[in-house]
Amino acid sequence: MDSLKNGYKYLLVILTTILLSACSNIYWGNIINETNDVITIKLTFVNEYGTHFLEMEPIRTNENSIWEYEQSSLFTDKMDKDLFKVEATNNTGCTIIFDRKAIEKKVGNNRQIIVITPQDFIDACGIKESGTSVKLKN
Amino acid sequence: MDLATASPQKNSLTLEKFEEHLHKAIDKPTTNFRMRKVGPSRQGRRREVKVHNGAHRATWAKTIINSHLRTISINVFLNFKQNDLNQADYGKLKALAMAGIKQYWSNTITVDGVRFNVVVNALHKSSSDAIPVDLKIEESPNYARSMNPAILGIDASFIYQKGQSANRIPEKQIDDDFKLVSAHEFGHSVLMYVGGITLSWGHKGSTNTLFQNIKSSTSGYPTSGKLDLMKYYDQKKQKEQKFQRINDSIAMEIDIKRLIWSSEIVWTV
Repeated sequence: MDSLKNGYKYLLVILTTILLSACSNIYWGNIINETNDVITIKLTFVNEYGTHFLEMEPIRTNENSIWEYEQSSLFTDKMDKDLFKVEATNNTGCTIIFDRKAIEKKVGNNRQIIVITPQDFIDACGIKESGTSVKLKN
Repeated sequence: MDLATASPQKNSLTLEKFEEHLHKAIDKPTTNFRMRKVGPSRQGRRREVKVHNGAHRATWAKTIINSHLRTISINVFLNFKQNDLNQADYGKLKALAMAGIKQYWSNTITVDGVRFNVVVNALHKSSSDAIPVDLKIEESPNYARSMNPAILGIDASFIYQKGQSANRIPEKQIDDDFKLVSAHEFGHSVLMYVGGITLSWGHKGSTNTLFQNIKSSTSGYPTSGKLDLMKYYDQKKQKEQKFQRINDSIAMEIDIKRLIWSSEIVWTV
């Protein structure tokens, strides 16, 4: 009787674990600011419910901001599949726009981390340039 | 009833009135017994027996109400199991879990027009009448789900996402996540005790009970206001703002009343 009870208990544990983890995994997307400026980030997501935006609070030098998402473990690319565009703006008003292709390139092997570097703004707006400038990276 | 009155009532709100309003607020009967027909007996007749509905009988919670000061102190008992954690990790996770439960479950409630400040204190108790919790550390960079089925003596699992440091997530954010998750998982014991699997596993109607996936009727994260600690939100409809869940989640008044309904009450004036 005891072994039956134990067997039932472990079967329930296994079933519960499977149920809780089968459908999707949780991920944290992480944006890290490695520039010397405070940057603002706007993320654009596109999915079956339409297009929506996430405007993150300004990220200081060497700090980060995260967003959470769930997606099927069948996706080999762990970066949020709904993430369509990343816009990063620095103190001087230079804005870089990463489209999906650029995001995937930037994420590389890290898969969940997007690092904004000084080089991104140099490439986009030039080292001495100030004032509003927008460059699409792809 | 399992209620102890420490001293006589002096103000208008009595324990009986408190209980009556509390039970109504969570859609529970004001009497803690119901009559149930059993049988037939050996004599061939059906009998009626008194069956307790569980109110104020959870062994893992005790509520002390001071009606004069309008404060409610709730002690909840969890049996945090060390398993293979070293002493330092065990101490840290236990402290974070207890801090999280206190932070997210302390709130204010109103009963019969009287507002009470509620403080929930989580305490470690290594006995079978406490909620059993396995404290665990996920070393890989994959997020591991915590859980609390709250049935048949299956231990809850509170999992610390240490491996997220490989994703360059700062320790403070991992700590904050663990505090929030611990408070949420503890809440499953409350919901299960009061409302069973549908309320608990179904996250108060926001997810499918068995598969835990979010229902199509579930809304996205609200752009302002508090978040229900025990509900899921559909981040596909609206993403959460930075640390919104950490900063804005709170146990709702009805869930705190459910916790009080579960626990033994000591009434003081």
